[in-house]
Amino acid sequence: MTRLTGRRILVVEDEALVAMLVEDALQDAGATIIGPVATVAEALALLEREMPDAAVLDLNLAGETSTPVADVLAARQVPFVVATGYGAEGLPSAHADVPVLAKPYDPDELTAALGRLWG
Amino acid sequence: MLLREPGGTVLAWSAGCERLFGIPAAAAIGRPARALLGAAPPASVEEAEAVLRREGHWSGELALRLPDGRVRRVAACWLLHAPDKGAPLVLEAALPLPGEGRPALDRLEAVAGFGTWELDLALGGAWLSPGCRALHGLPAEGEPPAPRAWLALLHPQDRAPVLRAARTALRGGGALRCRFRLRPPGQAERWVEARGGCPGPRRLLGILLDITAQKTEEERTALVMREVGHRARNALASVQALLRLTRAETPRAYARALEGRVAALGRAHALLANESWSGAALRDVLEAEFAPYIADAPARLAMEGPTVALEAGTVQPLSMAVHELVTNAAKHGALSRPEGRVRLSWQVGAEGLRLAWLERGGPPLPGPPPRRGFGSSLLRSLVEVQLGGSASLRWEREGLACEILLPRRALAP
Repeated sequence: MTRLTGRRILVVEDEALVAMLVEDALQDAGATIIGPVATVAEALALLEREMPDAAVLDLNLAGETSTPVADVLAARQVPFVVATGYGAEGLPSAHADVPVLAKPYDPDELTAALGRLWG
Repeated sequence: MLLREPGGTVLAWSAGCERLFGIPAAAAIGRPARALLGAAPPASVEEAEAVLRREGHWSGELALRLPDGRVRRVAACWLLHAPDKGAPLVLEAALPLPGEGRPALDRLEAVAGFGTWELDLALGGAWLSPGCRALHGLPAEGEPPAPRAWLALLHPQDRAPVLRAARTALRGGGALRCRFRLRPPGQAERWVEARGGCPGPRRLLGILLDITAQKTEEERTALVMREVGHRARNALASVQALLRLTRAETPRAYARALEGRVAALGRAHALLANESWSGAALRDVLEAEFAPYIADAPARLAMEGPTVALEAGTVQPLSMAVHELVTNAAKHGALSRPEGRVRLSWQVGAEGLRLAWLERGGPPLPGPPPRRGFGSSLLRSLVEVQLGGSASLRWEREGLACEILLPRRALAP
């Protein structure tokens, strides 16, 4: 199993249960969680104070798209993976290289995808 | 039928002419016939006039151009009456060719909301019926738009496909069926469908239907399908999280806890589906969660508060949060004893909804549990992370007290 020891990972997810599952899986892999937060505004506010090593980003947050968060992450060169309930549809083409996980996904897939972010 | 002088001035104009050409007798009499009923190319009136002068009569098909630009195809018969005494007269009789019964069709178009059109490459012109002109946002009468002007009324993306469809129909003599967007000047864009075919070489005619409502409905259905798929995926992700996160001492207890939580998810979805996913009433959410426990003793639950409509996104997390409180009460609190009671009261203020939960009549509580269980973590996560509110729990000796605050955005506006 992928180890994420010492990595600080921002979790942006608006479904409490999924957020808890992600937290649980990432903590098991040795990571430290920043968040979780459920809205674009909260995520942007958190990013003003924190510099995570990576992020898990839900594409749709309570009806709004999380593209603004993706833009800030990309600008600050924070690698991230995207989770979406809308099947294969991903982020705008500017983020075409970002790994996409379709909900529901296996938490091990998430830790593996995060592990690959650092090559 | 009309009577005219050989020079052209109209002397009499029948009711049939009024109907067929839409020009009243008063407007026709005294005017030159060919100004009213011009010949559309390639019909040559000069030739017909020559035959009429030479032989006293002429008959044939004519394409007549009306002052408003419309073209009427008629079977015409002209007769020269040259009496010994008095001035010579010409009698023109015209019968509409099939498909030329415009006045009746115009009325039909107006009531049924469609238009008809005709493109005649041989005559080098197009004709749009009043209904068709209305769909294009053009005044009821006037010259038909030139091909380039007509194309400019189409959504830019639809121009090439429409031309392609027309060319294919003309080349193969087959049917035409295409959908495109019209942008009538000063009006909202509308979706139309053209259906037609080629009755002869280089002629294309058909009808134009407004399908905007149908298109809107199709788009709405596609959106709903997408949303349903999205909700199903999210519900599955929630169930998957419950599978992984639910903890219990025995497999049986695990199964029961899991079933209870999945059932709460299911009830929330049922409530939402009842209201077409627009939200649900707070009281309905609370009653649905209590129903399995108070079926034979409804007095064990007291509810007090105004009618509150919840935002759609609030229904599932709040249902699950209340479910955690209810199962806890059934296992360890007031609902574990027949004499136990739960009192729920709420108010809505400027800051949002304040919901107070109070258990009484259960076993005395020794104090907070030694470690936070999944149930209370879930409750906090649902209320604080997902709903942006707060939840505080007090383990009073007489029973559990909980206060949940939900921000205004969790409530329907």
